[in-house]
Order: sequence, then structure tokens, then C-alpha cells
Amino acid sequence: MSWGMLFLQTITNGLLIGAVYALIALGLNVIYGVMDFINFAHGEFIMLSMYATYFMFVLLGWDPLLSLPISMLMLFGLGAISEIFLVKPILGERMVIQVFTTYGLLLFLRNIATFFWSSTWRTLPTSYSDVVLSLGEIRISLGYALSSLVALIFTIGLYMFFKKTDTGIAIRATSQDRETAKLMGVDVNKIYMLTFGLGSACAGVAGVLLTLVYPIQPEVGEIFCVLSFVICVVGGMGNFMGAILGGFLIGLTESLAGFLVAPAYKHIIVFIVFIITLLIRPKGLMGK
Amino acid sequence: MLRIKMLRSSLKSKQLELLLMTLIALCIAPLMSKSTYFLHVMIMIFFFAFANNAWNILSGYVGLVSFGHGAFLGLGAYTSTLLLLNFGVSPWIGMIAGVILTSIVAAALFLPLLKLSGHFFALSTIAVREIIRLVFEYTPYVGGAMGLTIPIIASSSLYYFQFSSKIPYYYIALTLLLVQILILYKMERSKVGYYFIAIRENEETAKALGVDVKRYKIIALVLSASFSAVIGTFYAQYFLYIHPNSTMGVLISVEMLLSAVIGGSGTLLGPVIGAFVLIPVETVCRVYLGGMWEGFHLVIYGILLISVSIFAPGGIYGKASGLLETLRSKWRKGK
Repeated sequence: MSWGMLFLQTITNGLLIGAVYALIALGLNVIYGVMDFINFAHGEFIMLSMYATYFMFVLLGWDPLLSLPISMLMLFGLGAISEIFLVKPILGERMVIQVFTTYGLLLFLRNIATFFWSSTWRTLPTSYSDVVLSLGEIRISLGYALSSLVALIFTIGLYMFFKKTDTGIAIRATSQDRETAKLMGVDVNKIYMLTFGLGSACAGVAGVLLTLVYPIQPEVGEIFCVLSFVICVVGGMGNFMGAILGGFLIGLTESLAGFLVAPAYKHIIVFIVFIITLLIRPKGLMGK
Repeated sequence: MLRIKMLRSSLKSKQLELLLMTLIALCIAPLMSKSTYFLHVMIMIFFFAFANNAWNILSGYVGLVSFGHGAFLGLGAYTSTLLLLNFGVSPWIGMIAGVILTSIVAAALFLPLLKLSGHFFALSTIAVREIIRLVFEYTPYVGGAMGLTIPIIASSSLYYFQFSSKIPYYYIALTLLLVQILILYKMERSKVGYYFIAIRENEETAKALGVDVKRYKIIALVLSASFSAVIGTFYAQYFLYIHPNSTMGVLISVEMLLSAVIGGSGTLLGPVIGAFVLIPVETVCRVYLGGMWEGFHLVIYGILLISVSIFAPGGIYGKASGLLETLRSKWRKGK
């Protein structure tokens, strides 16, 4: 394979994983945009969804893509419950308190998972995970292709939800001006619960898709959580399109850095890009 | 009036008495108990109290929450260890070198980030910590992912900071902590301390009142990083083994803030109280559940962190002193 083809292959890989990253970051960003709140346990929600998918596959034989709605609903419920019991009491509090509440949730979930499922790496071998598609000289693993396709479908679905449905419009109204939305008859408490649920459902869907391409472990959420923070900041905090742009950008940076420098250094370069963006455009590429 | 004044002065002397008694108890404790396990737990309490105090300067007083303090601790540990292994330099000198190097690195890497506020600063500290950790992990000269082992040079030598017994470590850790608390006590009552709190409470107002916000943020950062580097050297000499994950990873960075947050961040004694609560919890968990549930103490920490955030946002220290204050005023009214 020529260097040019390898380069194209790298870009393809970056874009494919970028779609999944975009969905993860979207979950975080929707919550931040509406509630001005950062969920540090976002990565742990992804991890729980990965385990749910894994066990439905191993114990019941359900394919990840078929059990996807179940995982998504489970995570929606988990998000809504966390909102009621953990987030609501501290919404008006100082930022420090918000950080430490969800950080406590992170510690709790991660170590409970270690206890129940041990820290061994598990993989989920589907019938199609070894299939490789060829597009000219470029090879794409079917697992990556499917996960990126489904992530795109969900992203577009979420966009339509915010644009077209009454609830979506109510959520956007709340994010723009909470007090006015309240005066217009929007039940802000319900909107918050729904938003947190939706953001967590994004993590849920992303978790299912990640099982196709990534091994499962209790600490797997760490890197995805950090990456999604990076994506949100690079793209623009609270900005829908920002998360998508950032997702693809970071996916590309990661795979290009792995190809041009060394795979080991890919995250160093992602973090350097993150800090440079923070310094040049603290509000992110799409932020106002 | 007079009664209240007398009451107040007697309370002050009572507090002083209590403090002195605690000190004496801590000083003679190793003589009373020969158990190395007890000594280890106490050393860990001092260690984490010191590390959390270091974090508290930047994050508790100035309010810039950092998840990256492990990087400072690690840099201190690596500097003194590399100097010792390559040039036979005493870890005490290495400790000073570590403080200088860590201050420079902290200033160079974190300085541009100081203008960020709130969530953004917290997130960027994760990135900076990861950059430093990954660089150490992929550089074979500093041991790479395998880390560095400090060979036993002398069975008991103050020069090489190595002792076969735990008692010297106990006294060194206790002294370090006491000196640090004294410095912080002075800091809290100087204008620097008031400026720190002013910046935390309202940066714009502080600026408007003439506080050089940037300068005091740098002072807090360098102080915070220096103390972390000092305790990093202690870590290396106590465990005699360091590697990037254990000295710069997530876990140590989080443990450097847990005691402070649970005990009461932004207060002088909060981190110490936190360490005295958390480390025994960890020990009990390890003793009773260690084999079957490695991370159980972290589950408890998680629950504690959530409960403190929701029910006692000022930490245990804040809650306790608040309760004491209401009791006292009630009692006064009764009189």
C-alpha cells in the first residue's frame, strides 16, 4: 500500500471513530447547554451501557444492535434518576460542589463495576466483527462502519428532535432563557430531567456501538470521558454543531497523530491540540 | 460583656490545650505502639494531609479546582529519584531541586490556563496531567511504564533518606506536616490569604479593589505545586518505587483532593480532618475486604463525596464548626 493510500486509510479511520466520539460529546454538551452542568460520570455511563450490551449478548444471545434500544432506555432511566436524586439538589450550588457530586458518582460506579465484573478486559465477538469491507484499497472493518453509521443516524435523529418536536423546542427555549421559558408554561424541572436522560441515552447508544470495536473494562469510561470533554471544549461548550465538528476533528487528530507520530503519542497530541484551542479560542471553534 | 470575654479567652486556651495534647499524643504514639501497621496508617494520614493541604492552596483558597496535582507530586518524586539514582545526590537536596523544577514546569504549563475559570480550568488540568504522565510513560530514560526502583543503599541513613524502621518516617512526615500547617496558618492570616479568598469569592470584585489577580494566582500555583513536589520525594523514599501511574495517575490526583473536599476545602484544618477520617476508612476496608474487593474504599469515598456535596457543602469541618457556633449562641442566649 502506498503512503498516499495509508494516509487516506488513516483519515477514514479517524472519521469513522469521530462519528462515535461526536455522539458521546453530544450527550455531555446537551446537558451543559441546557443546565450549565458537567457530568463527570459520563464515561461511567458509557461503561455501564457497554456491560449491559455485553451481558445481553453473552447470557441471552442478543446482538448488540438489536439490544440497543434496551441499553438506551436503561441509560435514559439512569440519567433521569441521577438527575432527580443527585443533580437537582445541587443545581444552584457553586461549581466545585457540582464537580464533586458527579465525581463521587464516578468513583462509586467504577468501583462497583470492578467488584461485580472484575477488571479483566472482555470482548464481544459478533458474527460480523471480523468482516472487512474493501473500498478500492481502503479497508474498513464492518464493526467500525456500522457503529459510525448508527451514531450518525442517532445524531441526526437528535437534531430533528430538537428542531421539530414541541419538547425539543421547549428544551431549546429553556437553554436560551430559563426564566422566560418558565413564564411560557414550560415545566423546567421536567425539561431538566428529560435533558439529563437524553444526554445519558447518548452515552448509552455510544456505549453499545463501542462494544463493536473496543474491549470492555470497568475503567474504560475514563478515556472516553476525557476525550468528550476535549471535544466539547474544542467544538464549543453547549453547542450542538460544535460537538459534532469537535468529534470528527478529535477523531481525525487522534488517528493522524497515531499515523504520523506514533500510536503511543496520539493522546498527548490530542491534549496539546486541546490546550492550544483553549488558549486561542477559549469558547471553542463554534462558540460565541 | 466581661463574662463573654472571659468565656472567649477560656475557650481559646481550651483550644490551645487540646492542640497541645494532640501534638504530644502524636509525638509519643510511636513509643506506645510497636505495630508497624499502625505506624504505616499514621504515616499515610500525615502524607495525605500534607498532599491535600498542598491541593487546598490552589483549589480550596483560590478556587481553581485541579485534577492534575498528581503531576506535581510525580515530578517531585521523579526529580529526587533520578538525581539519587544517577548522581547519588541526597534526596533532601533532590527535594529542593524537585521543588524548583516543579515550580518551573507548573508555571510554564499551567500559567496560560490560569485565565480559564470554573469547569474549563478543571478540565484542562486533566489534560496537562495526562501529557506529563504519558511523556514519562514513553520515555525509557526515566524508567518508562515500568517505573523506577530505588535500591537500598543504607539500612538507616538520614543522608539517603532511607530507614529500615518506620519510626523515622513517622517523625519526618509529622514534622513536614506541622511545618506546612504553620506556614499555611501564617498565610491564612496574611494579606496573601485574604487575597486568595477574595479571588475565589469574586474575581471581578477583587480585581476592582486592586488585587493583582494574576500575580496571586501564580503565587498560589507555585506554592501548591512546591508542597506537592516535597511530598512526592517523601513518597519515593517511603515506598522506594515510583511509576507514572502511581505518582501521576488519576487515583493519586483524586486522593490529593478527597480529604480536603470531605474535610472542608479552603480551611486550614479541613484536609487534616479529612485525612484522619478517610485513611482509617480505607484501612478498615483493606483489612476486612482487601482480598475480595480491592476498590471498596473508593465506593465509600464516592458515597461520602456525594453526601458531603449535597448535605454539607462546607465539608465536615464547616458543618462541625457551624453546629458548634449555633450551640454556642443558643447557650449564650440561655444565659
